Amino acid sequence: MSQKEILIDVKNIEVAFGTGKNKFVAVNDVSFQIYKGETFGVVGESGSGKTTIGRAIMRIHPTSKGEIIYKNEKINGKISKHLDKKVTKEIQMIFQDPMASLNERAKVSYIVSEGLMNQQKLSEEEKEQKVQTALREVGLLPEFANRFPHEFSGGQRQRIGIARSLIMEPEFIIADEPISALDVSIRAQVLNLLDRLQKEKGITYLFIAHDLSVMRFITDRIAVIHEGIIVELAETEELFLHPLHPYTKALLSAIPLPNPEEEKKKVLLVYDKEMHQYETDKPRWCQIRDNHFVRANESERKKYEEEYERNCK
Amino acid sequence: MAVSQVNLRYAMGVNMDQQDIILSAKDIEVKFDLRGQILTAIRGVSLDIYRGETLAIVGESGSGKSVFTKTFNGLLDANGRISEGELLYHGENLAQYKKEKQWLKIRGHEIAMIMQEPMTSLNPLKTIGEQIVEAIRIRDKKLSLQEAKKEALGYLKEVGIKDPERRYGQYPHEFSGGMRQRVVIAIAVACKPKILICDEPTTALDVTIQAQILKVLKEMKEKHSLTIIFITHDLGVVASVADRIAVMYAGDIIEIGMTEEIFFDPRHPYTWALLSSMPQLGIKGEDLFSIQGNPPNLFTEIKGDAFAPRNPHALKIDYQKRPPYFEVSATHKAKTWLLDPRAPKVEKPAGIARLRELKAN
Repeated sequence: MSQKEILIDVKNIEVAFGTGKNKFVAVNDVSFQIYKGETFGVVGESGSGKTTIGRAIMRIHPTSKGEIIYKNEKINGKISKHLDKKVTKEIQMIFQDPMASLNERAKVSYIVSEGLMNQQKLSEEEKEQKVQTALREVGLLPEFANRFPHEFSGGQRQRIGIARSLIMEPEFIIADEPISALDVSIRAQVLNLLDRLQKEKGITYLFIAHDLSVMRFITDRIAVIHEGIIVELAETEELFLHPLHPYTKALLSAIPLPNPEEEKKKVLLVYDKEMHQYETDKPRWCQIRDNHFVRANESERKKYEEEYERNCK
Repeated sequence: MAVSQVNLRYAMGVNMDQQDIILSAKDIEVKFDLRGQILTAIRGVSLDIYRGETLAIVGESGSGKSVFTKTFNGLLDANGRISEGELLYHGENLAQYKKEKQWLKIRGHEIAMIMQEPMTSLNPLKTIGEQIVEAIRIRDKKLSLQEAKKEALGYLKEVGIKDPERRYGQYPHEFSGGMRQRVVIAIAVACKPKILICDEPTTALDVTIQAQILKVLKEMKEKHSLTIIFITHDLGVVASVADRIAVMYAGDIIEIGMTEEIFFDPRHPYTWALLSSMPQLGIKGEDLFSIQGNPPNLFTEIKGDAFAPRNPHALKIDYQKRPPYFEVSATHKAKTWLLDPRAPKVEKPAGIARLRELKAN
């Protein structure tokens, strides 16, 4: 386990909006590591700060505390021009809504190749070559390059969004709810595509979503985030089999089961953060099992340990 | 306990034949004029909706599920029309309605609708209290403002909005997405409709909120004895709410049956495909099942089974002749030639078998 190469190391970052009285902390003391070649999931409700984390790594939102280390170099705050260029190339993002994230007035060839312009001097032919390869890789026809985004369906547009990040030959892709806006049948195609690209190119993903059912299929490890704080982190199957934090349990209970008999009996759990008694006994980041962490105070930690034991029997 | 509940539901299913039909669509065909071309969005759909049931209509975008239900309260776009068929509601043929005035009697009062995006279906300039009171006072013109307000507060409480007195005077932007959708439900129910059409009511929402909204809908259905038509593209969502499921493809209902029948004994290859593409059924490391190709072009006339070009199990006849309904049980029928006694046996995809296993466990 420990031999795995760490690609991104996020250390105690805080992202805050506004200052003084209006200061709002969207991401609070968040730490995690992403290994090379894995798919790391961040799951939480809207407003939990999961997108903000992704954007902080992309350096769209400045961090107010903490460090983000990418390949042993600090990439948040002030960085050198050379590093800036490297990071811009190697970290790419796929956005949620393929309807809103593509420039309506630009042709696909421009949309896909725009990122290259800042990077290296390329002749028109080379650029065209690259665009065609990228389009082919995501399963689109090269002649689509001369069309406009409105001529495509939602699934095709999302592929264009993926081609746009692929052309940069990234090492790390932040996928921010890439399938939430798509139909169920198209979802499967996009998930398969992301999976295939990972196998072929060894890309590392940070996968952000609110739907745990999708996460189980695609991620290796999952961090559950609630109101800017990570409450639980574990390997995917481990998290599904032994959820500990009440918020994780609530999220799991909300997954629609494809089984009408079970589904009609299911009890929906609702998480209320008032349930914790954190006044005197402050919560810490506790390790319950190998690679399974949960935020808990001392008494909760004991409770979780016992619960885990019982579950295993 | 659980077993008896299931049996009860099956028993209800058998009784559905004798249950009264609240709305009946007969061979409905809807056409749109688009830049000189004619698009046939609905191709001869017949459907009976029973009083008090929850019917889910499932399909991909563009399958016509929204267009079909929009005909129920006259909300088709100006270039669209019901070109053939009947829509019988309380002895009246809604398909013949021409004037807006006729529809005003139906829309809201008899058949209400909840739209997908709660952000756009509320008026941002009015407090949510005013918007509910408006609906109540249109329904019951004699009611005083005070009485209407009291009633509105009751509805807010019913849909699970805490502290309704304070929330009453707030504007939509002060509500979260899930809360807004609750307000929309309150407005729809305040009209006291018989039928409530929910057009993808949870698609724009988080999973946790989605589960809560589904619960509210179920409660409201019981309390106000509603008949619910639930439109969605996600089969996972309907497992908990629907009594019956109708699967739509290219403007036609290709399979319809009780929820258990559709999940555990689906017959149409398209239903197989829809079920297997749910990520819940995927196996890590393997490709998730996905449907190849695109839905057919509805500008041209479709010959045979509309799903045939995307169907790996397509038979020769699928390209030639449109399949009729084959009955699987009293409540379950599907339009596929595979059910013809002469058809060869076709292996169902692995995902369907996994669903069965889920049932067995």
